[in-house]
Amino acid sequence: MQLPKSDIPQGTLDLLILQVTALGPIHGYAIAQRLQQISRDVLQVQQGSLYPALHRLENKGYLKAEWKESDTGREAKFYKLTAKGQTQLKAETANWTRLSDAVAAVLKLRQRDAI
Amino acid sequence: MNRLKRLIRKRQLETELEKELRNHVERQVSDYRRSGLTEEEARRKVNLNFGGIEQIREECRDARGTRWVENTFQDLRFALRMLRRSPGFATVAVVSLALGIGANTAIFSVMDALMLRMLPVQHPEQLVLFGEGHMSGVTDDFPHRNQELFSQPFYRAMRGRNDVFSDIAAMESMSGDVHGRFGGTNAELEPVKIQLVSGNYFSTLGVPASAGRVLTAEDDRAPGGAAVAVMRYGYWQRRFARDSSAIGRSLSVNGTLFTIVGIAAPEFFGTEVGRAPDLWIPLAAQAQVQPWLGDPLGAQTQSLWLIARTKPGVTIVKAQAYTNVRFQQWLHELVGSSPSADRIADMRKAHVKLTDAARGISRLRREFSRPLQILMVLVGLVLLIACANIANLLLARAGARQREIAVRTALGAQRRRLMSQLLSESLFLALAGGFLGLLVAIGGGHLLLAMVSTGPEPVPLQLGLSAPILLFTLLLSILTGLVFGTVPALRMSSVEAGPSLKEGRGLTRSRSHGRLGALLVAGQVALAFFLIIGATLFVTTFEKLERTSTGFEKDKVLLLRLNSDLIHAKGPALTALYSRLETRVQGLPGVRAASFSMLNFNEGEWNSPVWPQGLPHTEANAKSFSGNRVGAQYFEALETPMVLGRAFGPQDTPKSQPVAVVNETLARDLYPNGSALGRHFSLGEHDDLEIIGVVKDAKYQSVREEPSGVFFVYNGQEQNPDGFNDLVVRAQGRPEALIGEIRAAIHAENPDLAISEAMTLAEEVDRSLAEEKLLAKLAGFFGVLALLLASVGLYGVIAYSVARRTNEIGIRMALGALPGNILGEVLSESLLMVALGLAAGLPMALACGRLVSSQLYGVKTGDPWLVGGAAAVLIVAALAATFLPARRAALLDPVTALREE
Repeated sequence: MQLPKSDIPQGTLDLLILQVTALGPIHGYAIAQRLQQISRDVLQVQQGSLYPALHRLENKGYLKAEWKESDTGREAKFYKLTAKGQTQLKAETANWTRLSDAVAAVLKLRQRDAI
Repeated sequence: MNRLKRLIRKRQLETELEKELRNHVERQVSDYRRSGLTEEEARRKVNLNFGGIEQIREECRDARGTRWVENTFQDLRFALRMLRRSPGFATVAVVSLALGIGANTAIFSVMDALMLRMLPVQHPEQLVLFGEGHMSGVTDDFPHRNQELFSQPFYRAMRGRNDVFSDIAAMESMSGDVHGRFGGTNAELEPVKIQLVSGNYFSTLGVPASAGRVLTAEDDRAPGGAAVAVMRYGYWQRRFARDSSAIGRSLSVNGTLFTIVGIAAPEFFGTEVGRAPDLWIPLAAQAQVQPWLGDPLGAQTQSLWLIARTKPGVTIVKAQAYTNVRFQQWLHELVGSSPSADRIADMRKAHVKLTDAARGISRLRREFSRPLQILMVLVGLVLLIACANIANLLLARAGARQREIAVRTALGAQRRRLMSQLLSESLFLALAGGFLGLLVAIGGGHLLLAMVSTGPEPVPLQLGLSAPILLFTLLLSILTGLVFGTVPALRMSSVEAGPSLKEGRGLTRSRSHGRLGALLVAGQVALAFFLIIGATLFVTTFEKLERTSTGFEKDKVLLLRLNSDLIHAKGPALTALYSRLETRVQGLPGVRAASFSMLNFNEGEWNSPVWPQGLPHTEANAKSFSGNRVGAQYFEALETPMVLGRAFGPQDTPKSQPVAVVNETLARDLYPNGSALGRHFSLGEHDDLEIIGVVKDAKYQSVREEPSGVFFVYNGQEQNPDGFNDLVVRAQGRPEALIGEIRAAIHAENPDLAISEAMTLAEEVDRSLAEEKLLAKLAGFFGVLALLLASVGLYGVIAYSVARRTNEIGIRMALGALPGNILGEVLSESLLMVALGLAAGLPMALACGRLVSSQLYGVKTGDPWLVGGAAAVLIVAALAATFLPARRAALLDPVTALREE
């Protein structure tokens, strides 16, 4: 049986990518896999849309890319979080937590009211 | 990796992107296969999950951040391709832009050199000038107003101890030619421009030597000490062809040998813009170089300009306050403990105004700032008219390209991209025009410089392609491109795909372009009207000035300025020499009259208080008039008619009654009732002069001046050769033909007597009108250009409108309209535009006319004849420009016209 899947809210894809790359150099396909596994298939990323985001983050200097041999023996483009990316990740994580806490609080309030 | 690298490595990035995306797809496919799907199913699923590959590729490219640069290149390539397809349009546009932008750049380059450029010295912004640099010469007046010229003692006192200036340099304000010889007495006597400067001149300005050394304080110690000189680089280049052995050579001037010790930095031309000395010599040598100056060290010999460098952080206001305190202290010391009432009054009025000297001193700047500003505005308007023409052409093309644009819109081109592409075309045209314009500017700039130069040599201003000039041209080109390109681009990119595609291949039917074009033409007519009125004003001013009677015969009179510095005869011996020379020249065949004189037209003034006989010599009783010292045949030589009495003659000797001739205005001023003849007056210390004649008024300083009183005294009685150096010779035939013989006569009398200048008085009068001539010539030229451009614009719009309405005209003619009706209608369409333009241009011209009224002479902006004439010229031009297309419309064959489409 398939669980209902959610689209990723606008702008959060960048945060997720930064979080995944923070664990070590990783290539595009692996990022996509990782996102699906971790979120237990809840977050549905249109696989292709990952790449413009990666390139944008690279262009901003948050990621650094390098061509290396991958586990399959083929060359793949590995992305690594830079120092600048780390700072950005911290800032965005804090931001996100604050936002989701706030949203959660509001939702709880609603539930109590409903009861 | 920065953006530039990304741009250059575009191809590599593309392959990498390809590889990265393929990797992903392949891995996904093999993963699915492993989970049991067939190859085909796997691929289908991947494609679904991945999304449109082409779209993702585009998005990745956008993410690179170099997209706009790539787009720009693409746009420029496209623009070039489009323009290549219509070479006629491109050529017309580029050439007219080159002329327009070039003319602007040419005028700007002269403005830049004369008014904007900083002196090529260290920290020019710290330099201040004592006074405004309006005066040059020497004065022995006790300071009693804004003081501009200073004495050596004041300079030394001011320099001695100082809180606000890090140093002060002095330079002689009179930096005329001296005549000297490089080498022995056999060498040719040559004119050399010398400026006397204090020893710290170069160190104060921070100008190094390019070879040898510059002057030092040591050189300027004792009067007549080490006689050394530093050479200007440009002069070294010209006179010595950069021969390094020029250092160590010496120039003999008035018996003193000045050794060249160095050459100044290449770009340094001195502190006076538009007037560069050949040599700088220490002030200590003033007595040798300017022997006529009297006492160079006297406290009343005020002939120096002072230029100072403020200490860091000192404002000009503070420096001025401090300077005035010191100036007053110095004046108090000068007058002693018990000054007269006059002196106290003088001192109260005496002050020093400090002015910014970062751009140097310039007489030329004062004269030509205003004309150049006016010309800048005029030429800017001409460019605007040219822009309107090109905008109109672009609009016409817009009609023809509507289908192309519609197709591209239908295929998904964004409006922004279309706009940027269309603007790229305009910018491309403008930049090409600007580039060619630089060539025009180089030629035009030198032409302008020749017109600004009033002397025989061109003004030494550097006009080359400096950074500010290039920047100006670039910015102007971009601005121009935006001005003429924006409206057509907006208009074109707003095309809607549907209706335009349905309309078919013919010309568009949009009426709005016609209206916009007509408005543009009306604007052109307004500007052209404005420019023609301006041109007429300046041309009339110049003609009136040229035709104004000067009160003397100018065409047949030769003026020779002699320089007697080199000859040893002084005082009575020189007077005797001059009088022998006068007689000799008078005896030459072809000479009607010849006379020495002190001052001639536009040469400066000698002002003196005049007291009528009987009045005590107090300041209250004195009237100030200007005077001149002349020889016996002076009035005959200039053909200034005697109104009453007689001119000077042999009966007037040093022993007889001193006599004077006055002009009509002076006679009227001093003796309003009754004749001036036989009356007596006195000048300062001279007691008693009897008036023996009255001459007609003439112009003395400038053609514009109002009549003023002038008295003439006779050198035959004064026996004073100082400054008596102008020989005026009235010729029977062409005056220039006499120069050779007069030169020979002078040489025979004394070979050391140098001729500094030889010209006709007409040339001197011309020279005094250089500013008006420049304005008249260029404003006239721009006026004609504006008229031509506006006519072309009008022709274009009418021709377009006729072509657009071919069908309609054909129908009307088939229904019985007469050719005359059609002709009249087209002509009236054009006249309507002209009328609109005239109505808009007139108030503009009248308002601006008031701003330039000080430049005008004998003509008013509102003069109905002038305005009417300008309007008539435009209307005639408009009719001429419209006639061809109107006739074509009237002669249309209805059958052919209807078959079109």
